[in-house]
Amino acid sequence: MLYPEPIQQLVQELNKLPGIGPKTAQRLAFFLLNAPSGEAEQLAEAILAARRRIRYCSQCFNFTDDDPCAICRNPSRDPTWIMVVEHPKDVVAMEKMHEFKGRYHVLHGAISPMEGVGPEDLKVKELIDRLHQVSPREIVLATSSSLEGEATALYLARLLKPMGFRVTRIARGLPMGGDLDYTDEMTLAKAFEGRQEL
Amino acid sequence: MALEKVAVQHFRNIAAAELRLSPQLTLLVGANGQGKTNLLEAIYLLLQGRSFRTTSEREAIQEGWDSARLEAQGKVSGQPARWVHVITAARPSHQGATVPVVLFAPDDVYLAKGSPERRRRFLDLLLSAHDAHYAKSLRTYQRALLQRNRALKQPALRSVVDDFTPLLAHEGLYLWQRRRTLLSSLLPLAQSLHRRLAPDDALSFRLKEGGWSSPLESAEAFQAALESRRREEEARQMTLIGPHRDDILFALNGKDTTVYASQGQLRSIALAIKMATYEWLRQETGIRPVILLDDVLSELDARRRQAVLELTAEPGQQTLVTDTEARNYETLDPTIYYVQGGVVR
Repeated sequence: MLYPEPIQQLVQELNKLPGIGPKTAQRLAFFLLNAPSGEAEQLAEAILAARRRIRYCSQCFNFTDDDPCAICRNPSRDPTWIMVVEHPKDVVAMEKMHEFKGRYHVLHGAISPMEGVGPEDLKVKELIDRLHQVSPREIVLATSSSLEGEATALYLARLLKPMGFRVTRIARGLPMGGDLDYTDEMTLAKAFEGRQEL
Repeated sequence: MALEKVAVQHFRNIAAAELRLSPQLTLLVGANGQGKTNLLEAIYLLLQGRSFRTTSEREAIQEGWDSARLEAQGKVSGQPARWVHVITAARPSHQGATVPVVLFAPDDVYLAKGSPERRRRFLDLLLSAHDAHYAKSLRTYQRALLQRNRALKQPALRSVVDDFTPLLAHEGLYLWQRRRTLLSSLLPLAQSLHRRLAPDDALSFRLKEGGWSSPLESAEAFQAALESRRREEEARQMTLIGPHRDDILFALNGKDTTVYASQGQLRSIALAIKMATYEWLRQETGIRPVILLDDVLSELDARRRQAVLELTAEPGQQTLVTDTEARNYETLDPTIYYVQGGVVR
Protein backbone atom coordinates (compact mmCIF):
# COMPACT_ATOMS: atom_id res chain seq x y z
CA MET A 1 0.00 0.00 0.00
CA LEU A 2 1.19 3.51 -0.83
CA TYR A 3 1.05 6.37 1.67
CA PRO A 4 0.03 9.90 0.68
CA GLU A 5 2.91 11.77 -0.92
CA PRO A 6 3.95 13.90 2.13
CA ILE A 7 4.27 10.78 4.28
CA GLN A 8 6.29 8.98 1.62
CA GLN A 9 8.55 12.00 1.40
CA LEU A 10 9.07 12.08 5.18
CA VAL A 11 9.81 8.32 5.32
CA GLN A 12 12.26 8.70 2.45
CA GLU A 13 14.13 11.51 4.19
CA LEU A 14 14.29 9.70 7.55
CA ASN A 15 15.51 6.59 5.75
CA LYS A 16 18.60 8.51 4.64
CA LEU A 17 19.77 8.89 8.24
CA PRO A 18 22.52 6.53 9.43
CA GLY A 19 21.23 3.42 11.21
CA ILE A 20 17.64 4.05 10.09
CA GLY A 21 16.13 1.36 7.86
CA PRO A 22 12.78 1.58 6.06
CA LYS A 23 10.83 0.04 8.97
CA THR A 24 12.27 2.43 11.56
CA ALA A 25 11.80 5.36 9.18
CA GLN A 26 8.11 4.46 8.93
CA ARG A 27 7.78 4.20 12.70
CA LEU A 28 9.47 7.58 13.24
CA ALA A 29 7.27 9.19 10.59
CA PHE A 30 4.11 7.98 12.31
CA PHE A 31 5.45 9.03 15.68
CA LEU A 32 6.00 12.55 14.37
CA LEU A 33 2.55 12.67 12.76
CA ASN A 34 0.84 11.56 15.97
CA ALA A 35 2.96 13.70 18.35
CA PRO A 36 1.27 16.57 20.22
CA SER A 37 1.15 19.75 18.18
CA GLY A 38 4.37 21.72 18.37
CA GLU A 39 6.73 18.78 18.88
CA ALA A 40 7.39 18.11 15.23
CA GLU A 41 7.86 21.85 14.70
CA GLN A 42 10.38 21.97 17.56
CA LEU A 43 12.35 19.16 15.97
CA ALA A 44 12.29 20.84 12.59
CA GLU A 45 13.42 24.12 14.12
CA ALA A 46 16.19 22.42 16.12
CA ILE A 47 17.51 20.86 12.92
CA LEU A 48 17.40 24.18 11.07
CA ALA A 49 18.97 26.13 13.95
CA ALA A 50 21.79 23.60 14.29
CA ARG A 51 22.42 23.72 10.55
CA ARG A 52 22.39 27.51 10.50
CA ARG A 53 24.42 28.24 13.62
CA ILE A 54 26.93 25.38 13.82
CA ARG A 55 30.12 25.60 11.81
CA TYR A 56 33.72 24.47 12.10
CA CYS A 57 36.00 26.23 14.56
CA SER A 58 38.64 27.93 12.41
CA GLN A 59 41.42 26.57 14.65
CA CYS A 60 40.53 23.04 15.73
CA PHE A 61 37.71 22.24 13.26
CA ASN A 62 35.42 21.00 15.98
CA PHE A 63 31.76 21.99 15.68
CA THR A 64 30.99 25.33 17.31
CA ASP A 65 28.39 28.07 17.33
CA ASP A 66 31.00 30.66 18.14
CA ASP A 67 34.34 30.94 16.35
CA PRO A 68 36.89 30.18 17.81
CA CYS A 69 35.25 27.49 19.93
CA ALA A 70 35.10 27.57 23.75
CA ILE A 71 38.17 25.32 24.10
CA CYS A 72 40.30 27.29 21.63
CA ARG A 73 39.26 30.56 23.37
CA ASN A 74 40.13 29.26 26.85
CA PRO A 75 43.47 30.87 27.88
CA SER A 76 44.13 28.21 30.54
CA ARG A 77 44.37 25.53 27.84
CA ASP A 78 47.86 25.07 26.46
CA PRO A 79 47.84 26.02 22.77
CA THR A 80 51.11 24.16 22.16
CA TRP A 81 49.75 20.82 23.33
CA ILE A 82 47.57 19.40 20.56
CA MET A 83 45.53 16.23 20.51
CA VAL A 84 44.44 14.95 17.08
CA VAL A 85 41.12 13.06 16.96
CA GLU A 86 38.91 11.68 14.21
CA HIS A 87 35.50 13.06 15.18
CA PRO A 88 33.84 15.79 17.28
CA LYS A 89 32.39 13.04 19.50
CA ASP A 90 35.96 12.02 20.38
CA VAL A 91 36.54 15.51 21.82
CA VAL A 92 33.50 15.04 24.05
CA ALA A 93 34.82 11.64 25.18
CA MET A 94 38.28 13.06 25.95
CA GLU A 95 36.86 16.04 27.82
CA LYS A 96 35.05 13.67 30.17
CA MET A 97 38.37 12.52 31.62
CA HIS A 98 39.31 16.09 32.74
CA GLU A 99 43.01 15.25 32.33
CA PHE A 100 43.96 16.87 29.08
CA LYS A 101 44.63 20.61 29.36
CA GLY A 102 45.73 21.19 25.79
CA ARG A 103 43.71 21.77 22.64
CA TYR A 104 42.27 19.54 19.94
CA HIS A 105 42.39 19.10 16.21
CA VAL A 106 39.47 17.28 14.58
CA LEU A 107 40.27 15.46 11.31
CA HIS A 108 36.65 14.59 10.46
CA GLY A 109 37.40 11.03 9.51
CA ALA A 110 40.23 8.57 8.96
CA ILE A 111 42.17 7.45 5.91
CA SER A 112 40.18 4.77 4.09
CA PRO A 113 41.06 4.11 0.43
CA MET A 114 38.09 1.76 0.01
CA GLU A 115 35.81 4.70 0.71
CA GLY A 116 37.99 6.98 -1.38
CA VAL A 117 39.11 8.94 1.70
CA GLY A 118 42.72 10.12 1.64
CA PRO A 119 44.61 12.78 3.62
CA GLU A 120 43.29 15.46 1.23
CA ASP A 121 39.77 14.74 2.43
CA LEU A 122 40.69 15.23 6.09
CA LYS A 123 41.74 18.38 7.95
CA VAL A 124 45.42 17.46 7.58
CA LYS A 125 46.63 20.48 5.62
CA GLU A 126 44.88 22.68 8.21
CA LEU A 127 46.71 20.79 10.97
CA ILE A 128 50.12 21.41 9.38
CA ASP A 129 49.38 25.12 8.92
CA ARG A 130 48.32 25.37 12.53
CA LEU A 131 51.39 23.51 13.84
CA HIS A 132 53.71 25.84 11.96
CA GLN A 133 52.00 28.78 13.67
CA VAL A 134 52.00 27.55 17.26
CA SER A 135 55.24 25.48 17.44
CA PRO A 136 53.71 22.73 19.58
CA ARG A 137 55.56 20.98 22.41
CA GLU A 138 53.64 17.74 21.84
CA ILE A 139 51.19 16.32 19.34
CA VAL A 140 49.11 13.45 20.73
CA LEU A 141 47.65 11.16 18.07
CA ALA A 142 44.32 9.93 19.46
CA THR A 143 42.75 8.41 16.36
CA SER A 144 40.81 5.20 17.05
CA SER A 145 42.45 1.77 17.31
CA SER A 146 40.62 0.55 14.18
CA LEU A 147 42.66 -0.37 11.12
CA GLU A 148 41.89 3.03 9.56
CA GLY A 149 42.61 4.92 12.79
CA GLU A 150 46.00 3.19 13.09
CA ALA A 151 46.85 3.89 9.45
CA THR A 152 45.92 7.55 9.93
CA ALA A 153 48.15 7.77 13.01
CA LEU A 154 51.02 6.19 11.06
CA TYR A 155 50.51 8.62 8.21
CA LEU A 156 50.55 11.62 10.53
CA ALA A 157 53.61 10.38 12.42
CA ARG A 158 55.42 9.83 9.12
CA LEU A 159 54.49 13.35 8.06
CA LEU A 160 55.10 15.26 11.30
CA LYS A 161 58.21 13.67 12.78
CA PRO A 162 60.53 14.75 9.94
CA MET A 163 59.26 18.29 10.54
CA GLY A 164 60.84 18.05 13.98
CA PHE A 165 57.65 17.81 16.03
CA ARG A 166 57.31 15.61 19.10
CA VAL A 167 54.61 13.06 18.25
CA THR A 168 53.02 10.59 20.69
CA ARG A 169 50.29 7.94 20.32
CA ILE A 170 47.74 7.14 23.03
CA ALA A 171 48.30 3.68 24.55
CA ARG A 172 46.10 0.66 23.95
CA GLY A 173 45.51 -1.98 26.56
CA LEU A 174 43.37 -3.26 29.35
CA PRO A 175 40.15 -1.52 30.36
CA MET A 176 40.06 -0.46 34.03
CA GLY A 177 38.57 -3.14 36.23
CA GLY A 178 38.95 -5.63 33.40
CA ASP A 179 39.74 -9.28 34.07
CA LEU A 180 42.81 -10.60 32.30
CA ASP A 181 41.16 -13.87 31.36
CA TYR A 182 38.24 -12.09 29.67
CA THR A 183 40.51 -9.94 27.53
CA ASP A 184 41.07 -10.95 23.91
CA GLU A 185 44.62 -11.85 22.89
CA MET A 186 45.01 -8.86 20.60
CA THR A 187 44.31 -6.39 23.42
CA LEU A 188 46.52 -8.34 25.80
CA ALA A 189 49.35 -8.32 23.28
CA LYS A 190 49.02 -4.54 22.90
CA ALA A 191 48.92 -4.09 26.67
CA PHE A 192 52.05 -6.21 26.98
CA GLU A 193 53.85 -4.23 24.27
CA GLY A 194 52.98 -0.99 26.06
CA ARG A 195 54.10 -2.14 29.53
CA GLN A 196 55.81 0.46 31.72
CA GLU A 197 58.52 0.49 34.35
CA LEU A 198 57.12 0.93 37.87
CA MET B 1 29.20 -35.25 21.24
CA ALA B 2 25.68 -36.07 20.06
CA LEU B 3 23.10 -34.06 18.20
CA GLU B 4 19.66 -35.30 19.09
CA LYS B 5 17.18 -33.10 17.29
CA VAL B 6 17.56 -30.73 14.36
CA ALA B 7 14.85 -28.39 13.03
CA VAL B 8 15.17 -26.48 9.77
CA GLN B 9 12.86 -23.72 8.52
CA HIS B 10 12.87 -21.92 5.16
CA PHE B 11 16.42 -22.96 4.43
CA ARG B 12 17.21 -23.37 0.71
CA ASN B 13 14.57 -25.77 -0.68
CA ILE B 14 13.45 -26.98 2.76
CA ALA B 15 10.28 -25.29 4.02
CA ALA B 16 10.22 -27.16 7.31
CA ALA B 17 11.89 -30.33 8.53
CA GLU B 18 12.57 -31.99 11.83
CA LEU B 19 15.04 -34.80 12.29
CA ARG B 20 15.86 -37.04 15.23
CA LEU B 21 19.40 -38.18 14.73
CA SER B 22 20.98 -41.48 15.65
CA PRO B 23 23.96 -41.19 18.02
CA GLN B 24 25.79 -43.29 15.41
CA LEU B 25 24.70 -43.29 11.79
CA THR B 26 21.91 -41.25 10.21
CA LEU B 27 21.27 -41.79 6.52
CA LEU B 28 19.67 -39.22 4.22
CA VAL B 29 18.42 -40.94 1.09
CA GLY B 30 17.17 -39.29 -2.10
CA ALA B 31 17.90 -38.56 -5.74
CA ASN B 32 20.27 -35.74 -6.63
CA GLY B 33 19.04 -32.17 -6.13
CA GLN B 34 16.37 -33.06 -3.55
CA GLY B 35 17.91 -31.28 -0.56
CA LYS B 36 20.17 -33.82 1.16
CA THR B 37 23.24 -31.59 1.07
CA ASN B 38 21.12 -28.67 2.30
CA LEU B 39 20.48 -30.62 5.49
CA LEU B 40 24.20 -31.27 5.95
CA GLU B 41 24.87 -27.57 5.36
CA ALA B 42 22.27 -26.69 8.02
CA ILE B 43 23.97 -28.97 10.54
CA TYR B 44 27.39 -27.60 9.66
CA LEU B 45 26.09 -24.03 10.11
CA LEU B 46 24.66 -24.87 13.52
CA LEU B 47 27.84 -26.51 14.80
CA GLN B 48 30.38 -24.18 13.14
CA GLY B 49 28.51 -20.88 12.82
CA ARG B 50 29.40 -20.58 9.13
CA SER B 51 28.59 -22.32 5.88
CA PHE B 52 30.96 -24.52 3.90
CA ARG B 53 29.16 -23.51 0.72
CA THR B 54 28.78 -19.77 0.77
CA THR B 55 30.01 -16.60 2.43
CA SER B 56 26.71 -14.87 1.67
CA GLU B 57 24.28 -16.79 3.86
CA ARG B 58 21.39 -14.63 2.72
CA GLU B 59 21.21 -16.64 -0.48
CA ALA B 60 20.31 -19.70 1.62
CA ILE B 61 16.94 -18.25 2.68
CA GLN B 62 14.12 -20.07 0.90
CA GLU B 63 12.72 -18.09 -2.01
CA GLY B 64 9.76 -15.93 -1.02
CA TRP B 65 10.72 -15.74 2.68
CA ASP B 66 12.73 -13.17 4.59
CA SER B 67 14.44 -15.39 7.14
CA ALA B 68 15.66 -18.92 7.73
CA ARG B 69 15.83 -20.54 11.15
CA LEU B 70 17.95 -23.52 12.18
CA GLU B 71 17.79 -25.10 15.60
CA ALA B 72 19.32 -28.11 17.31
CA GLN B 73 19.47 -29.83 20.65
CA GLY B 74 21.94 -32.35 21.90
CA LYS B 75 24.83 -32.94 24.26
CA VAL B 76 28.41 -31.68 24.33
CA SER B 77 30.75 -33.48 26.75
CA GLY B 78 27.70 -34.91 28.52
CA GLN B 79 26.07 -31.51 29.09
CA PRO B 80 22.77 -30.54 27.40
CA ALA B 81 23.39 -28.04 24.62
CA ARG B 82 21.30 -25.98 22.25
CA TRP B 83 22.11 -24.24 18.96
CA VAL B 84 20.16 -21.56 17.09
CA HIS B 85 21.18 -19.97 13.83
CA VAL B 86 18.92 -17.34 12.24
CA ILE B 87 19.61 -15.86 8.81
CA THR B 88 17.93 -12.58 7.84
CA ALA B 89 18.74 -9.77 5.44
CA ALA B 90 20.91 -8.32 8.22
CA ARG B 91 23.82 -10.13 9.87
CA PRO B 92 23.02 -13.77 10.82
CA SER B 93 22.60 -14.46 14.52
CA HIS B 94 24.22 -17.49 16.07
CA GLN B 95 24.03 -19.15 19.47
CA GLY B 96 25.63 -22.34 20.63
CA ALA B 97 28.97 -23.96 21.24
CA THR B 98 31.31 -24.52 18.31
CA VAL B 99 31.60 -28.26 17.78
CA PRO B 100 34.15 -29.83 15.43
CA VAL B 101 32.78 -31.17 12.16
CA VAL B 102 34.52 -32.93 9.30
CA LEU B 103 32.81 -32.82 5.94
CA PHE B 104 33.74 -35.27 3.22
CA ALA B 105 32.45 -33.96 -0.12
CA PRO B 106 32.85 -35.07 -3.75
CA ASP B 107 34.89 -31.99 -4.65
CA ASP B 108 37.53 -32.81 -2.00
CA VAL B 109 39.44 -34.48 -4.84
CA TYR B 110 40.29 -30.99 -6.11
CA LEU B 111 42.04 -30.16 -2.85
CA ALA B 112 45.36 -31.41 -4.24
CA LYS B 113 44.76 -30.27 -7.78
CA GLY B 114 42.30 -27.37 -8.12
CA SER B 115 42.85 -23.68 -7.51
CA PRO B 116 44.98 -22.47 -4.56
CA GLU B 117 41.95 -20.57 -3.32
CA ARG B 118 40.32 -23.87 -2.40
CA ARG B 119 43.35 -24.83 -0.28
CA ARG B 120 43.42 -21.46 1.46
CA ARG B 121 39.72 -21.84 2.21
CA PHE B 122 40.38 -25.28 3.70
CA LEU B 123 43.01 -23.77 6.04
CA ASP B 124 40.86 -20.77 6.96
CA LEU B 125 37.69 -22.75 7.68
CA LEU B 126 39.56 -25.20 9.89
CA LEU B 127 41.57 -22.60 11.82
CA SER B 128 38.84 -19.94 12.15
CA ALA B 129 36.28 -22.32 13.59
CA HIS B 130 38.31 -23.21 16.67
CA ASP B 131 40.64 -20.25 17.08
CA ALA B 132 38.97 -16.87 17.65
CA HIS B 133 42.32 -15.10 17.41
CA TYR B 134 42.91 -16.55 13.93
CA ALA B 135 39.40 -15.57 12.80
CA LYS B 136 39.89 -12.02 14.00
CA SER B 137 43.38 -11.78 12.58
CA LEU B 138 42.11 -13.01 9.21
CA ARG B 139 39.36 -10.37 9.14
CA THR B 140 41.80 -7.58 9.99
CA TYR B 141 44.27 -8.89 7.42
CA GLN B 142 41.64 -9.00 4.70
CA ARG B 143 40.53 -5.46 5.45
CA ALA B 144 44.11 -4.16 5.52
CA LEU B 145 44.71 -5.93 2.20
CA LEU B 146 41.60 -4.39 0.65
CA GLN B 147 42.58 -0.90 1.87
CA ARG B 148 46.15 -1.31 0.65
CA ASN B 149 45.05 -2.60 -2.77
CA ARG B 150 42.62 0.29 -3.15
CA ALA B 151 45.40 2.71 -2.30
CA LEU B 152 47.62 1.08 -4.95
CA LYS B 153 44.82 1.50 -7.51
CA GLN B 154 44.34 5.24 -6.99
CA PRO B 155 47.37 7.40 -7.85
CA ALA B 156 46.09 10.11 -5.49
CA LEU B 157 46.22 7.64 -2.57
CA ARG B 158 49.62 6.07 -3.32
CA SER B 159 51.07 8.10 -0.44
CA VAL B 160 49.08 6.08 2.14
CA VAL B 161 49.89 2.56 0.83
CA ASP B 162 52.67 2.16 3.41
CA ASP B 163 50.44 3.19 6.28
CA PHE B 164 48.55 -0.07 5.87
CA THR B 165 51.70 -2.17 5.46
CA PRO B 166 52.74 -2.64 9.13
CA LEU B 167 49.23 -3.82 10.08
CA LEU B 168 49.11 -6.11 7.08
CA ALA B 169 52.52 -7.54 8.00
CA HIS B 170 51.62 -7.99 11.66
CA GLU B 171 48.47 -10.02 10.94
CA GLY B 172 50.04 -11.76 7.95
CA LEU B 173 52.89 -13.15 10.05
CA TYR B 174 50.41 -14.56 12.53
CA LEU B 175 48.33 -16.22 9.80
CA TRP B 176 51.47 -17.77 8.31
CA GLN B 177 52.62 -19.07 11.64
CA ARG B 178 49.27 -20.72 12.39
CA ARG B 179 48.95 -22.19 8.90
CA ARG B 180 52.46 -23.69 9.08
CA THR B 181 51.81 -25.16 12.52
CA LEU B 182 48.52 -26.68 11.38
CA LEU B 183 50.08 -28.29 8.31
CA SER B 184 53.01 -29.70 10.23
CA SER B 185 50.58 -31.26 12.75
CA LEU B 186 48.45 -32.70 9.96
CA LEU B 187 51.41 -34.09 8.00
CA PRO B 188 52.33 -37.18 10.09
CA LEU B 189 48.65 -38.01 10.66
CA ALA B 190 47.86 -37.77 6.94
CA GLN B 191 50.99 -39.72 5.97
CA SER B 192 50.15 -42.68 8.15
CA LEU B 193 46.51 -42.74 6.97
CA HIS B 194 47.62 -42.37 3.38
CA ARG B 195 50.03 -45.34 3.65
CA ARG B 196 47.04 -47.54 4.43
CA LEU B 197 45.08 -46.28 1.41
CA ALA B 198 47.94 -46.21 -1.08
CA PRO B 199 51.00 -48.12 0.18
CA ASP B 200 53.01 -47.40 -2.97
CA ASP B 201 52.80 -43.62 -2.78
CA ALA B 202 54.58 -41.43 -0.21
CA LEU B 203 52.55 -38.29 0.51
CA SER B 204 54.06 -34.97 1.57
CA PHE B 205 52.79 -31.40 1.73
CA ARG B 206 53.81 -28.00 3.06
CA LEU B 207 52.79 -24.37 3.02
CA LYS B 208 54.09 -22.27 0.16
CA GLU B 209 54.11 -18.70 1.42
CA GLY B 210 52.46 -16.34 -1.05
CA GLY B 211 54.71 -14.23 -3.23
CA TRP B 212 58.05 -14.91 -1.54
CA SER B 213 60.48 -17.79 -1.93
CA SER B 214 61.26 -18.37 1.75
CA PRO B 215 59.27 -17.87 4.96
CA LEU B 216 59.41 -14.28 6.21
CA GLU B 217 60.17 -14.33 9.91
CA SER B 218 59.54 -10.75 11.07
CA ALA B 219 57.30 -7.79 10.29
CA GLU B 220 60.42 -5.88 9.20
CA ALA B 221 61.39 -8.62 6.75
CA PHE B 222 57.83 -8.68 5.41
CA GLN B 223 57.85 -4.90 4.92
CA ALA B 224 61.26 -5.00 3.25
CA ALA B 225 60.03 -7.74 0.90
CA LEU B 226 57.00 -5.63 -0.05
CA GLU B 227 59.26 -2.62 -0.51
CA SER B 228 61.43 -4.59 -2.96
CA ARG B 229 58.44 -5.36 -5.16
CA ARG B 230 56.80 -1.98 -4.88
CA ARG B 231 57.20 -0.96 -8.49
CA GLU B 232 55.59 -4.19 -9.67
CA GLU B 233 52.81 -3.71 -7.10
CA GLU B 234 52.06 -0.27 -8.47
CA ALA B 235 52.01 -1.58 -12.02
CA ARG B 236 49.71 -4.48 -11.15
CA GLN B 237 47.77 -2.43 -8.56
CA MET B 238 47.75 -5.14 -5.95
CA THR B 239 49.65 -6.48 -2.95
CA LEU B 240 51.93 -9.23 -4.22
CA ILE B 241 53.20 -10.85 -1.02
CA GLY B 242 51.18 -12.33 1.80
CA PRO B 243 48.94 -15.16 3.03
CA HIS B 244 46.26 -14.18 0.49
CA ARG B 245 48.52 -15.75 -2.14
CA ASP B 246 49.50 -18.85 -0.13
CA ASP B 247 49.25 -22.35 -1.46
CA ILE B 248 49.74 -25.86 -0.11
CA LEU B 249 52.19 -27.87 -2.18
CA PHE B 250 51.23 -31.55 -2.36
CA ALA B 251 53.61 -34.19 -3.62
CA LEU B 252 53.47 -37.94 -4.17
CA ASN B 253 56.90 -39.59 -4.14
CA GLY B 254 58.33 -36.09 -4.46
CA LYS B 255 56.30 -35.17 -7.56
CA ASP B 256 53.91 -32.21 -7.67
CA THR B 257 50.32 -33.51 -7.63
CA THR B 258 48.87 -30.62 -9.63
CA VAL B 259 50.80 -32.02 -12.59
CA TYR B 260 51.16 -35.75 -12.01
CA ALA B 261 48.40 -37.26 -9.86
CA SER B 262 45.65 -39.51 -11.20
CA GLN B 263 42.03 -39.23 -10.11
CA GLY B 264 42.44 -42.23 -7.79
CA GLN B 265 45.58 -40.77 -6.23
CA LEU B 266 43.84 -37.43 -5.67
CA ARG B 267 41.00 -39.25 -3.99
CA SER B 268 43.38 -41.01 -1.59
CA ILE B 269 45.09 -37.72 -0.74
CA ALA B 270 41.74 -36.05 -0.09
CA LEU B 271 40.60 -38.88 2.17
CA ALA B 272 43.89 -38.93 4.07
CA ILE B 273 43.73 -35.15 4.62
CA LYS B 274 40.14 -35.24 5.79
CA MET B 275 40.77 -38.15 8.14
CA ALA B 276 43.89 -36.39 9.45
CA THR B 277 41.75 -33.30 10.04
CA TYR B 278 39.36 -35.47 12.04
CA GLU B 279 42.20 -36.75 14.24
CA TRP B 280 43.68 -33.28 14.68
CA LEU B 281 40.33 -31.75 15.69
CA ARG B 282 39.72 -34.58 18.10
CA GLN B 283 43.10 -33.99 19.77
CA GLU B 284 42.78 -30.19 19.75
CA THR B 285 39.23 -29.91 21.06
CA GLY B 286 38.91 -33.12 23.06
CA ILE B 287 35.58 -33.67 21.31
CA ARG B 288 34.87 -36.37 18.74
CA PRO B 289 34.00 -34.44 15.55
CA VAL B 290 30.68 -35.06 13.81
CA ILE B 291 31.31 -36.64 10.41
CA LEU B 292 29.30 -35.51 7.40
CA LEU B 293 29.68 -37.74 4.34
CA ASP B 294 28.16 -36.00 1.36
CA ASP B 295 27.71 -38.46 -1.45
CA VAL B 296 31.26 -39.77 -1.28
CA LEU B 297 31.07 -43.47 -0.40
CA SER B 298 29.57 -44.56 -3.73
CA GLU B 299 32.63 -43.08 -5.49
CA LEU B 300 35.14 -45.04 -3.44
CA ASP B 301 36.63 -48.45 -4.04
CA ALA B 302 36.41 -51.15 -1.36
CA ARG B 303 39.66 -50.29 0.40
CA ARG B 304 38.96 -46.56 0.73
CA ARG B 305 35.34 -47.14 1.66
CA GLN B 306 36.47 -49.54 4.36
CA ALA B 307 38.81 -46.90 5.84
CA VAL B 308 35.99 -44.35 6.13
CA LEU B 309 33.44 -46.79 7.49
CA GLU B 310 35.86 -47.98 10.19
CA LEU B 311 35.92 -44.44 11.49
CA THR B 312 32.14 -44.15 11.56
CA ALA B 313 31.74 -47.52 13.26
CA GLU B 314 33.56 -46.47 16.44
CA PRO B 315 31.14 -46.34 19.40
CA GLY B 316 29.87 -42.81 20.04
CA GLN B 317 30.87 -41.57 16.61
CA GLN B 318 28.00 -39.53 15.19
CA THR B 319 27.84 -39.54 11.41
CA LEU B 320 25.44 -38.29 8.75
CA VAL B 321 25.58 -39.80 5.29
CA THR B 322 23.80 -38.81 2.11
CA ASP B 323 23.32 -41.37 -0.64
CA THR B 324 20.98 -42.12 -3.48
CA GLU B 325 20.16 -45.50 -1.99
CA ALA B 326 20.02 -47.12 1.43
CA ARG B 327 21.14 -50.65 0.68
CA ASN B 328 24.90 -50.09 1.26
CA TYR B 329 24.33 -49.37 4.93
CA GLU B 330 21.94 -52.07 6.12
CA THR B 331 24.48 -53.74 8.37
CA LEU B 332 25.17 -50.46 10.20
CA ASP B 333 21.61 -50.11 11.52
CA PRO B 334 21.17 -46.44 10.53
CA THR B 335 18.29 -44.05 11.23
CA ILE B 336 16.96 -43.35 7.75
CA TYR B 337 15.26 -40.25 6.32
CA TYR B 338 14.06 -39.90 2.76
CA VAL B 339 14.49 -36.50 1.14
CA GLN B 340 12.43 -35.54 -1.89
CA GLY B 341 11.83 -32.04 -3.27
CA GLY B 342 12.82 -30.46 0.05
CA VAL B 343 10.46 -32.68 2.05
CA VAL B 344 12.00 -34.92 4.69
CA ARG B 345 10.20 -38.06 5.89
